[in-house]
Amino acid sequence: MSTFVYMTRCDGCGHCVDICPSDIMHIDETIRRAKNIEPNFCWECYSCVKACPNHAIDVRGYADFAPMGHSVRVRREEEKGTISWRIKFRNGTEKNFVSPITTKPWGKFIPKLSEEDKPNQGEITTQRLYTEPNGLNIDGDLPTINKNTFKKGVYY
Amino acid sequence: MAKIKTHVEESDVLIIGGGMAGTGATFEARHWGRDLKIVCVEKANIDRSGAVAQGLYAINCYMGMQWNENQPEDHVRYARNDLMGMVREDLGYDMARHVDSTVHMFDEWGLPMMKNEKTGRYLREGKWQIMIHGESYKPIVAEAAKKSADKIF
Ligand SMILES: Cc1cc2nc3c(=O)[nH]c(=O)nc-3n(C[C@H](O)[C@H](O)[C@H](O)COP(=O)(O)OP(=O)(O)OC[C@H]3O[C@@H](n4cnc5c(N)ncnc54)[C@H](O)[C@@H]3O)c2cc1C
Ligand code: SF4
Ligand code: SF4
Repeated sequence: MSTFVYMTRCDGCGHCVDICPSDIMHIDETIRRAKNIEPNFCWECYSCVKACPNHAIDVRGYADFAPMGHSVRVRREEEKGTISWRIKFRNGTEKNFVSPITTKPWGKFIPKLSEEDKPNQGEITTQRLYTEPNGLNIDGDLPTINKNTFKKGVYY
Repeated sequence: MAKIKTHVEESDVLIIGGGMAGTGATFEARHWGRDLKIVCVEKANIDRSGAVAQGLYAINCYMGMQWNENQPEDHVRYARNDLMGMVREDLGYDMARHVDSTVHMFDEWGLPMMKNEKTGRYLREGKWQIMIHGESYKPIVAEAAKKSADKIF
């Protein structure tokens, strides 16, 4: 079951249209509210649900954690670095979960490479990637394999 | 049908698709090519595009070479068995030997990973997988790509 929009809560801001990876949330031209134009193509990925400032979008949870007849609410708090889920089961039980979404403040710990020291261009012909070999946390260099050892132990 | 406009953009490196692979390629391209014009073309919003849109709750493959948990050879053997011999062993090996440094980088960038408090090792749920709180896996990697590309469409 795909997403659907509570028309009374939606204000037509378009955040869901912008984020949907499947490009199926569109603003209805007549009523200026969002709608899912192609329910078959909905991944139920919750991207639009999390992006909606008015909590106007609903979608079912995956069957492995929420059997039919439930409702799911989610709140993603970027500044706090958390995501909170509330699942209401059909017998009235409620479960709440909070998980971290990042361990570091946004925007600070990911390097802007163009402002860093240039890598040694001689290294470009090696097999090393960014941070390697140090980032592997092992003694020595990137492991290599002798091609002759491929298919070792294969009897078919 | 809406009119489709053609947009012409010159570039040194053009990356098509900004999923996990594309955003990573954008970042790596900038590492080696500081002065190149790097353009990443993605049909959706790179904060949520691709198979990682909903967030992932595991990293399906981590060697743990630093603790000698698995070595790239083990991964090649596993994949070969799993796929009944239909594998490019060189590619499997190459992926496996690079995956640890990539995972360590995500750890540094703030991806919440579950660890054993005593040993500091990543918690596993099987031989290859490690457990994460990956709701924002894609936004984190997308930030790296946005900082690296000249333009993202
Ligand atoms: C439900 C689900 C759960 C998963 N869980 C896990 C997990 O827990 N752990 C794990 O390690 N892996 C998991 N995986 C696998 C992992 O997410 C994928 O293997 C990985 O994200 C693939 O990345 P990619 O960059 O190769 O492809 P994609 O992420 O599919 O990226 C392709 C990109 O190209 C774009 N694109 C396509 N066509 C065009 C075009 N014509 N023009 C421009 N752009 C285009 C798409 O929008 C997309 O952004 C899961 C996958 C799914 C679907
Ligand atoms: S759940 Fe995902 S695929 Fe479905 S409409 Fe929302 S953003 Fe698009
Ligand atoms: S994000 Fe919410 S309020 Fe904004 S258009 Fe979409 S459904 Fe409506």
